Amino acid sequence: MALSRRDFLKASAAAAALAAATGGRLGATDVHAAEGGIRWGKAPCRFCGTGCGVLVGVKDGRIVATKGDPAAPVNKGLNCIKGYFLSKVLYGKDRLTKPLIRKGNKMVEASWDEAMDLIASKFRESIAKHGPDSVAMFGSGQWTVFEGYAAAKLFKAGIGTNNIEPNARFCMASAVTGFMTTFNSDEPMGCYDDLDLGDTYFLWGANMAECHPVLFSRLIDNRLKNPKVKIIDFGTRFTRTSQMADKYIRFNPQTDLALLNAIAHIIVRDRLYDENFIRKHVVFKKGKTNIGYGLEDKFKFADDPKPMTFDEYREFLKPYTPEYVSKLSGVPAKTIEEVARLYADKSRKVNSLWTMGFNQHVRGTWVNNLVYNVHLLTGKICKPGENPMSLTGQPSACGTAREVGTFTHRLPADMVVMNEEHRKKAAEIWGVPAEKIPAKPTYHATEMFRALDRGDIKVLWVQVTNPFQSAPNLSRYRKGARKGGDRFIIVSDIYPTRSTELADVVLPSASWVEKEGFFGNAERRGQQWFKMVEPPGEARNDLWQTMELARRLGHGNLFPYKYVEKEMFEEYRKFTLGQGKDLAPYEAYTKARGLRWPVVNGKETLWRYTEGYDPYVKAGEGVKFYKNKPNDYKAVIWARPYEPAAEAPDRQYPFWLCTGRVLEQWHTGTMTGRVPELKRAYGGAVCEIHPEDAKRLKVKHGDKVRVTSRRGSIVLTADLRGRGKAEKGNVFVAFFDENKMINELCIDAYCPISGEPDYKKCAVKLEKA
Amino acid sequence: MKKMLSLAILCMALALPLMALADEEEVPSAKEISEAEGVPPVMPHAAPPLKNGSEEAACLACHEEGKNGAPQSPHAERRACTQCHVQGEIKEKHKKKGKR
Ligand code: SF4
Repeated sequence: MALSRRDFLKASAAAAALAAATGGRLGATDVHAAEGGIRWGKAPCRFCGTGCGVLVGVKDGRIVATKGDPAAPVNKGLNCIKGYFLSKVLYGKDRLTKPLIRKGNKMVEASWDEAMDLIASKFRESIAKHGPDSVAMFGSGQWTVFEGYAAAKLFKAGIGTNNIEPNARFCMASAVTGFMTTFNSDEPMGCYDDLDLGDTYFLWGANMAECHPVLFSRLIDNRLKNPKVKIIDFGTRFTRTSQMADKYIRFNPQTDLALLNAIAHIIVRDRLYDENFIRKHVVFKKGKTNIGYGLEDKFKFADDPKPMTFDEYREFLKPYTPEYVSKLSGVPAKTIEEVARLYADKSRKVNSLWTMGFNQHVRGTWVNNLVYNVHLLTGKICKPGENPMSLTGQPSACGTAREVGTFTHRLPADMVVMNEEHRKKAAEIWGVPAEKIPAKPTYHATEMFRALDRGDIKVLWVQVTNPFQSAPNLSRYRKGARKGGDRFIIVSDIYPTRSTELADVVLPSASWVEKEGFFGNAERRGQQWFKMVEPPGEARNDLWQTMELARRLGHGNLFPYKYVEKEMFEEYRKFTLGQGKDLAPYEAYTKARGLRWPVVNGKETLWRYTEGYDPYVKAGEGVKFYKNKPNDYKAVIWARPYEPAAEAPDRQYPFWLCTGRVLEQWHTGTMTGRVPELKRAYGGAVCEIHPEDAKRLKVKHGDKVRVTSRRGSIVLTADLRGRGKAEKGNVFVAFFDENKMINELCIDAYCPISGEPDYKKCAVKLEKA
Repeated sequence: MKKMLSLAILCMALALPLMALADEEEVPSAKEISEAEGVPPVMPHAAPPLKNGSEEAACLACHEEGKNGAPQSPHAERRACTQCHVQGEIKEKHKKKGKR
C-alpha cells in the first residue's frame, strides 16, 4: 500500500495534500525516482545543533545513502563524518522492535496494548495516591518539535504537573538563563552568516573542530579567503581546534569569569568602549554573590537584581587588573591586554563562540552574562559579522527544548509558568482552564533524579535520551532508579542503552526519517522533514506513544488532530506570532531548507534587534532590544564576580577532570557506536594525561590508569599523544563510552540560576592500574 | 482501502494544477542530488604526525598534489581533513607509515 501510493507521489504539493487527507501517517516524502531506483528526500542531520542539511536516499524501504545537501545554507553540501554515516545509525543489529516489560530480572516481549495499559495504570495509581507531581517526563533536545510539544501539553495542561524536563538542562540551560537575564529573550541575535562575515573569532571552551565541525570549517574557509581573519582559542585543553587556531590561550579552569572581567576592566579603564551604544542600549545591574553550588537536595536560589550606575560598574571591575587575573588564570597579563584590545579594535568584526565550557559551569549564567558584557561595552553586537554566538549540542535543543519550552518552568515562546498572563495565554491556546497549569515549577533535571532517588517521584518516563549514562554523580541516580517501592520507569529508545537496562517498560521508538519531524538549530533555523521509511518491527513514534498515554488517561481531547504534525504545528505557531519568535506556516518549511525566525511575511530574519533585518525594529531605531520591556528595551550589563569551582584539586585529589565529546561519537554513543566505521575510528574512552604528569606517575602511553573521584572510580587507557592534549594537572575523558561511564566521577554541583551541572570541573586522583 | 484510494486520486486531481509548478521546485532537485557528495573515503593509513604543529599541513604534504603515490585531493581548499576522513582499516603496505 505505502509503496504503490508512493509511486503516485511526484510532487511535494501532491504529497502534502495526500498527507493531509490521510492524517499524515504514511509516506508523505518528497520522493521521485532517480538513478538506481533510489528516492531522495531532505532532512536535517540527526546529530548536533549545527543542523546540517542532508539528502536521504531510500530504496526498497531502507535508507541506503545520505549526502551533504548542496542546497542547505548551513553546510552548503558538506557534512562531518557523523552526517555521512547517517544511513547506518538506524540499522544496528540490536534495534528495539517490540515493547518489553520487566518480569523480575527479565525483560519480556509484550504487545503495545499491554505495555500502554500498564503504563497508564501506573500513572493513574500514582496520581491518585501521591498527586500529579509524583509522575514525570524526562525528554530531550532530540525530541522533534511535535514530540516535545505533545509531552509539554499533556503534562502541563492535562496531568497538571510541571514535572517535565529535557536533557537540555544538562547542556543548554545556562545559555537560556544568560539570554533571559541579559536580553529577556532566549536565543542569539546573530546567525551562521557571522562565521563568514567576521574577521576575529574568540572561542571559549568550545572544541568546534570536533563538536561543530561544519561550522568550524566555515571559519577556516573564511580565514583562507581573508588573511585578516584571526581565530583565538581560549581553552583548558589543547584540542584539534587549538591546533588550527591562530592562537591558543590556556587558562586555569573556572577563571574564564575573571578573564572576561579583566577584558572589561581594560576596555573601561582605557575608554575603549562605545559610549553612544552604551547610553542608548544598556543598563547596569548586579545580583547576589556567594550563591552556592546546589549540592544539597532541594537547594533553592532566587537572584535579587539591583540596578547600578556605569560608575559603580567601573568600581566593580577595579580589582580585575590584568596582573591579578594573570595570577589567577595563568594567562600572561600582556596577553590579556592584547585580547582586550582585539575585542575593542574598531577596525575588527569580533565574534565570540562558546558551548559547554561556559554552559556546564557552576557559574554558567554568569559567564554567559560576562561575554555579552564585552560585546555590549564595545557595541559589537546585532551587526552582520559581529556577534556573540552560543552554539548548541543537540539538533533541536533550540527548536524543541527551548522554544517549545519543555522545562519545568517554561511555556512556549519564552513564556513561564510563574507568570499568570502567560499561563492564561497558554491555557487559551490549549483549550483548558487557566487553573489547570500549575504556577510553580517543580524539579529541574538534577533535582528530578534526586526526587526519584528519594522516592518523591514515583513514575518517570524517559524519551529520546539516556540519563542513566549522562547524569552527573551517576551512581547515586542509577541506584535510586532501582530502589523499588512504587518507583516505575519507562524508557523509549531505539537501542538497548544504560537507561533501558534500568527500566520497567522499554518502548521501541521510531527515529529520524522513520517519522515526520521538525528540528530547530542554533541559528534559529527551523527545519522540517517527511517520513521516508517505516520503523522496524513494531517500533513507533514517540509522539504517538505520548498521545496514546494521553488517550488512556482521558486527555485525548488535547490532541484532536487528523494530520497530527501539521495541525499541531499550526497550533504551536500561535504562541510565536507577534512575539518576535514568529514561525512560518508549516507548508513553507516543507519546501525551504529551513527558515530563521522571526519569519514575518514569508521573510526570515538574519539579525535580530537590528533595523533593516528584524521587522520588529522600526526605521530610525537602529538597534532595539525590543523583548526587554522590563528594562526599557535595553540589554543588561551584569556585574558578576569570579567565584571558585564547587570542587577544586587538593592534596588527595590533585587533578582537574574535564569531560566532553569527540568527533566520531555523539552523546552517549548509542547511535554512532553502532556504525562500524565510527567505532573503529574512535572505539572507546581514554584518559588524556599530560606527559609530565604521566612520567611522575610512571605511566606510559597505553598503560592502564585508575581515575578516582570522591564519587566513583574507573580504569582507563592512558593517552599521552592523542588528538587532544591535556594540560598539566588536568585530565580529559570523553563521556560517550557506555562501558566506561566517566559521569560516575562527575560532581552534581550546578549553576544556581540555570540548574545546569558542571561536567567540566571536579577533582580526581590517578594511579597506575 | 478502496475509499482511501479514491481519496488519493481525488487529491491528485486537486493537486494537478500545481504539478507543473511543483515539478520545477522539486525538493531536492535532480541537480542537487547529482551534485551532492556521499561518504568520503577513509584513511587507509594511520594519521600522519603533525607537520609544524598542523594536521592540515601533514595531510596536504602528500594529498595536495598527489605525492608519494597518494591520491590528490579534489578539494584541497577544504582544510579540516579529519572532519570527514576518519581512520579506516590500515592496509598492510601502509603499516610502516605514520604512527598511531
Ligand atoms: S556538523 Fe553536526 S549537523 Fe553537521 S553533519 Fe556533523 S553532526 Fe551532523
